Amino acid sequence: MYIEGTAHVIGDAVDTDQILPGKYLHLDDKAEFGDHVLEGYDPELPDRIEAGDVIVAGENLGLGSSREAAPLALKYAGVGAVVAESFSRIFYRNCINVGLPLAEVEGVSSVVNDGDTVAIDLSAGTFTNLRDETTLPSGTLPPNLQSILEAGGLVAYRQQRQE
Amino acid sequence: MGQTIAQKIIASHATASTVDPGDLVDVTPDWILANDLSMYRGIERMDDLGYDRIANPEQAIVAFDHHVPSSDPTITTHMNEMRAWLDEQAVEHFYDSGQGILHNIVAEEGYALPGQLIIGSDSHTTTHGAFGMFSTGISHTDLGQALGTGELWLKVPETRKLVVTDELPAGTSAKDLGLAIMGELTASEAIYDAIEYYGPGIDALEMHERQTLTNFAVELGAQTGIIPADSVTESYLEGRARAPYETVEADPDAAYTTTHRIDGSAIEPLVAMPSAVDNIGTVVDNAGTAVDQVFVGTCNNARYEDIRAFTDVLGSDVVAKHTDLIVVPGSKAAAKRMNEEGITNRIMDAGGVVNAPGCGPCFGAHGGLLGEGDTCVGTMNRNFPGRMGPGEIYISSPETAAAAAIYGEITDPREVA
Ligand code: SF4
Repeated sequence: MYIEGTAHVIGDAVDTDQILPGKYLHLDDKAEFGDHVLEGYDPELPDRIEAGDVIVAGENLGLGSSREAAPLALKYAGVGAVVAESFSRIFYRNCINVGLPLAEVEGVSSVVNDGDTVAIDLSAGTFTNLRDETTLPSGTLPPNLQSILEAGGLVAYRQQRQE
Repeated sequence: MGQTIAQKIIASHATASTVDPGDLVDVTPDWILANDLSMYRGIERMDDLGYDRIANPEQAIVAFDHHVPSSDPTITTHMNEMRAWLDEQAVEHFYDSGQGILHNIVAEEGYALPGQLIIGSDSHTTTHGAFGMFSTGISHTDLGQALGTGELWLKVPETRKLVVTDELPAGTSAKDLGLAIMGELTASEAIYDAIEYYGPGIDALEMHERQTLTNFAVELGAQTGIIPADSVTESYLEGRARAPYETVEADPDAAYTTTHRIDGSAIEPLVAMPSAVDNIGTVVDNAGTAVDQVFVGTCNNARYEDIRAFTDVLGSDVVAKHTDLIVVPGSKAAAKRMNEEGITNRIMDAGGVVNAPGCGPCFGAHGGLLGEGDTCVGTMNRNFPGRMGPGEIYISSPETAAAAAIYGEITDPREVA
């Protein structure tokens, strides 16, 4: 799996309340989650994030509430992948379940500026900032989790297996 | 190499003899928990995943606690749809609005037992680790998968040991200890780990205090926080446990990655300052900060004993003129006992509001949201930006919350005569 896109850099400890505030959780049309993505972190981000962009975060991305709506908001906003120094546990599971590619890359927040084009090669386990070709290792997923992600999430994975 | 409690419990629920940190293991949990928010999405996901029926309806415990009472017609409709669905799926362990917060119910109704493995579609499912079990949070797709099959994969965590060497001094509470631990471990050091709590400072805690600590385990990033069961656990469970249970101990040569030591006797009243759970300061250093709202509630700190601790400090005082007091009991059992003992009347006479048992304003949707520039002192577990509206949150003990209510500013509860 290879993803390339424009980076939006966010800080450490961006929690799920900031990724999708609680007042939107009951929205029936889940696509609308995307309209409010990261609104609690920066109210201008929903307008700035475009399809295919990559979120580059610091430590402990997605801490807090277990809401799967948070990675869904990122997915519906068209985010191609999330990269972070580290992920909170439930958020990590949720990204795999909803099919949002993710990579844990130590040191990433100090080598990327807003607007850089970055590339993630999930199969090779590398992260590259294409601006200056800085490359860092990213962890790879266990094979069965990698298959769920490649299928586009657990629902798509199960459908494929039933076909 | 010996096994930690987390490893042993995962192994016993996966029918493996031993498991190692990092292994991905399919487990069969004793209970699968959900609330009104997560159940609604869980039903959608079950459907998406192709499961018509809950594999084992008796495995599920569902409580409506977040939107209590419903704050929005769409949500009311969702709740009605869920009630019909839960009926149709023959979910018997269902607690409708007003019974209390899911986690409080699971403990008070004797579901949570030593040696068990619980998964719950709510991050504070870690709370039940207070009963010497492995208990962890998941979200909606995982909930759909777990209900549809009765199983779920978990990654076996590494385990840290946390030792509290002494008992807490008078005038402090388990909440202060929990905040001290937050300051020590931060919100990111223990990501994915299990934490086992030991030492005289832990042994001396009652069950309601232990639940405050393990409720915080998720704020430490941990997969689970486990307090080994002992005589305190056993006496709480006497006449309450729904089934026989066996306690689980770590092997003497269990491999812990790290041991943290906290001197319990040095604990003082603390707060988590805006807007991070690990932004810890002393009440003394923050004294004088003006407070617009005091909130006593949540699965962290609104058991009967917690609210009682609050009114013990409040005494016969009234709430400061420009400060709002909102009390939301964690369960119906707590609310009834408050009524019987005159605690509800005391709070109302002091000028406070007592709302229906549930989550209240904790997750920022209704029931006491903060305005721009407002400052709240509350007994919750989270103070993230925007969590309860645009205002700022200081997390405190019930005692510190009471002192803030009386004076309208952050005040050392040990100074309240
Ligand atoms: S009280 Fe707050 S933290 Fe606890 S379950 Fe309810 S919303 Fe979550």
